[in-house]
Amino acid sequence: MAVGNSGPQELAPQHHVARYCRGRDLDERGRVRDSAFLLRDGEEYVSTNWLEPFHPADRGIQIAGVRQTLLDKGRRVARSGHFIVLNVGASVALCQNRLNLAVQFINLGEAHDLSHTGIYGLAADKARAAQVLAQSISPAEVYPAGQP
Amino acid sequence: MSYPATIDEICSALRARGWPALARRLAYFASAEDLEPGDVPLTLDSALGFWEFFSAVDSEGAVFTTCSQEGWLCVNWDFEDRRGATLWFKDSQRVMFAATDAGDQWVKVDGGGDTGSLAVVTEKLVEAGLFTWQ
Repeated sequence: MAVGNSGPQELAPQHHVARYCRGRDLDERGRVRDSAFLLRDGEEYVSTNWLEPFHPADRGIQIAGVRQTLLDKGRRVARSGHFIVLNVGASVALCQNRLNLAVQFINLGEAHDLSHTGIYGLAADKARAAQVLAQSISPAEVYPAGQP
Repeated sequence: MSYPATIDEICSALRARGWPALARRLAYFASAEDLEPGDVPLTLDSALGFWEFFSAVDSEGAVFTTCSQEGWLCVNWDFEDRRGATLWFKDSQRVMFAATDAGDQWVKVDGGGDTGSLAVVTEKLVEAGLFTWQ
């Protein structure tokens, strides 16, 4: 799917986003935990990158695209960091069913980062939302952030 | 042993109580290792809050740890059943939490918020059957 710069748009349920998480977000067994999704005070959304613009389905190409995008923005991508992938529809349904939160994945339509997407609607219940999202992560959808 | 006053002393106390892996994790979070721009190392106040809690209760849950960008220790207790708890030790007195009881219902403090005093949250979690008093 092509990405235009026509302003913010909500992602379709079948799409995916990647969230960069720090080494300190992984527990003793290497599992991504709640701290990867905790909104900081004053933050409106959890920052992610939409994957499908990089390739319709190839996860390796998608993750490489996100990595390069972050590097191009001057973001540090640490060797201890990881990218974790969320399915939009599954995450929205989970937050609705478990927390009664109306969560939206909004592509921000930024000219310098067309994939930048925010997860909105978590602030009302941020600790529980962070737990629910962390528990939804499949180990198969966790990728080392450093260069392969 | 007197009450610990530094993260090093908390780590020593954890080792003395048979929790060497947990002590290593706190030392790691307090260090500069893997810190990223905007990250704060584990704060002393957060570690003290955790120590206060960990000294007050027991649990059959398995303990896992991470650390927030603000330097708050985040501790997960994983259980074999539907129970589960995540506690964020924001400082020595305040804790943010997300916890479910054996019926998979969210444990809430009065008002339904996710943050409360350490004393109130601890009592709620004991009432909910996730922890027992030492």
